[in-house]
Amino acid sequence: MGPLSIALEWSSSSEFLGAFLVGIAFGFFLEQGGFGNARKLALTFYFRDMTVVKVMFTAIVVAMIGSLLLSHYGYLDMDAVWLNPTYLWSGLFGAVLMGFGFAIGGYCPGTAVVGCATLKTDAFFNIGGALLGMLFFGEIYPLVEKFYLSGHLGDRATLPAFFGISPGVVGAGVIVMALVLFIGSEALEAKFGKKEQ
Amino acid sequence: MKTPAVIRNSYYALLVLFAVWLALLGQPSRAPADRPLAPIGAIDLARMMVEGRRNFSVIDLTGSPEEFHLKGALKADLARDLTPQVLEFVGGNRGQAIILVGASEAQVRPLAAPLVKKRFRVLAVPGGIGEWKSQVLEPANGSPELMALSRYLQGKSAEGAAAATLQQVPPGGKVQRRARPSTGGGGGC
Amino acid sequence: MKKPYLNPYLAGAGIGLSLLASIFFFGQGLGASGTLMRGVTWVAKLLFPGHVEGNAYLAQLGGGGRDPLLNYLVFLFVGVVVGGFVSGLVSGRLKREINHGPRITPSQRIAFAMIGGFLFALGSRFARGCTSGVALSGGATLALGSWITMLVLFIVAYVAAFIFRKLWI
Repeated sequence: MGPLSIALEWSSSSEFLGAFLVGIAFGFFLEQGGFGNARKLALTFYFRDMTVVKVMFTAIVVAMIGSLLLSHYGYLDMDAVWLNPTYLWSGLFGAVLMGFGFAIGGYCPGTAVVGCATLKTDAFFNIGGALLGMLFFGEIYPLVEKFYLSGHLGDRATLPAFFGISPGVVGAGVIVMALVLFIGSEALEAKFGKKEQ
Repeated sequence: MKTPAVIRNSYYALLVLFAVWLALLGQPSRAPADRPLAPIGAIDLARMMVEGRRNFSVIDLTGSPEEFHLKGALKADLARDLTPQVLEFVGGNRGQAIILVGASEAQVRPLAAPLVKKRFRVLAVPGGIGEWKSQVLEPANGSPELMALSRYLQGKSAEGAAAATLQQVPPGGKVQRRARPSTGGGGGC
Repeated sequence: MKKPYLNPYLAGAGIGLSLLASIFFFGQGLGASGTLMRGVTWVAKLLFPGHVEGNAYLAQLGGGGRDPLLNYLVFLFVGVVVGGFVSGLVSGRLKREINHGPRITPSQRIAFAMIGGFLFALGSRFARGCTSGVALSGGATLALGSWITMLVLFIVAYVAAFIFRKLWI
């Protein structure tokens, strides 16, 4: 039963090797999707190239379906899987900053790394700015700590628990949402994408 | 990038099938509360320690605060939530085995659940630390498991294996953390 | 010779399977911003160890005996560099260039890339993750905060992109 590294008591070294291998696959497919190119990513926001939506939501849905089914049939113990904690206000504020950061910078850290790996000069400067941003956060942390820790709705708060519906139904809902987004994306690209050709 | 309609529609149809499957799943067969506290017994612990695959810490749930300097273990109050103190004590190293001395498994179970979720192995040992020491060091009627543990621990140091297994706490109570590799406490972004 | 990009649904499936593997084998998802923070912490610890010790946030990552770089995410990050490079190599997309919209100059793009990177990174710390960690991993595991963050991020990004459209179209 997964997570296998825990069930089989793999050493830290094995985990780190595994992380490296997973990273290779992740980076490979990111670049294959064109995520190393900031302009291509940005075109999502003008409905001309909806690759970001198609890739992201396919990725989420594939992993989600896999984990929900594995977990339901007893092959994966979700209790032992890391879950992102929920801090409402800090999360919202961060989302706003990230929204602007993405629209202005054209990258997020993962895609910027892929951009750097494919020698895009703007990606290097994006990462440079990001490192400064990290440094800045560390330095202002004493001032923002209280805000950072506010709105703590739980370390393992999930959508199913919050809405009181089963994970499977939530998963089905996410799939429906993804389908709407996919169909919508194809239509938007058909309408606005011609400008790119 | 135009995906051929056939491929696209097949993909969508596949997603719909999965959505239906998921929606019909209902509740999982095993409720989390039924899961065992931690898959470890004394002999498994001894084996893992002998094989060097686990670090471990001893946490004393009995005794007075003054005594814990002598015992060299962390004094934790059973009535309060163990987890933050334990994590501070063990430095967030995943996979560590934690020996909780002075409580039975039933007592420890609700408190240890968060630790188990963070993938620590938890062994509950009833009785006080003195009893545990004597049981481990001189297990006259000790179980085979405890004897194995004792043999391992005795091999650890001349001054007394149990003491050697305890993290030393200097006066003032600041916990010294031995530097060792950590996978970062189990997650994060 | 530049090859066309992989079909987005296939690329997405590839990423999704990588994420699933990460969850199934190692009990955690993907992430990128965490490594940048850890890198900064590592340098800070080298130069100003006392400062790291005294800062509650930095100490979590690098205080005491902790090595900020000895972490799943850091090794994942290195893998991403390798995987991205290999993909670029076999697809003929290893090219020193600056991708920018037609109405701005490359130098302007550089400046905005830095500003955007700064803002995004700062936001990622408040939100405890970037799109890989929050949207992909948190999304797949149905984490409440992650979904809220992801949806707000997208909406704000669309608004911000409209305001800053001169950068890209």
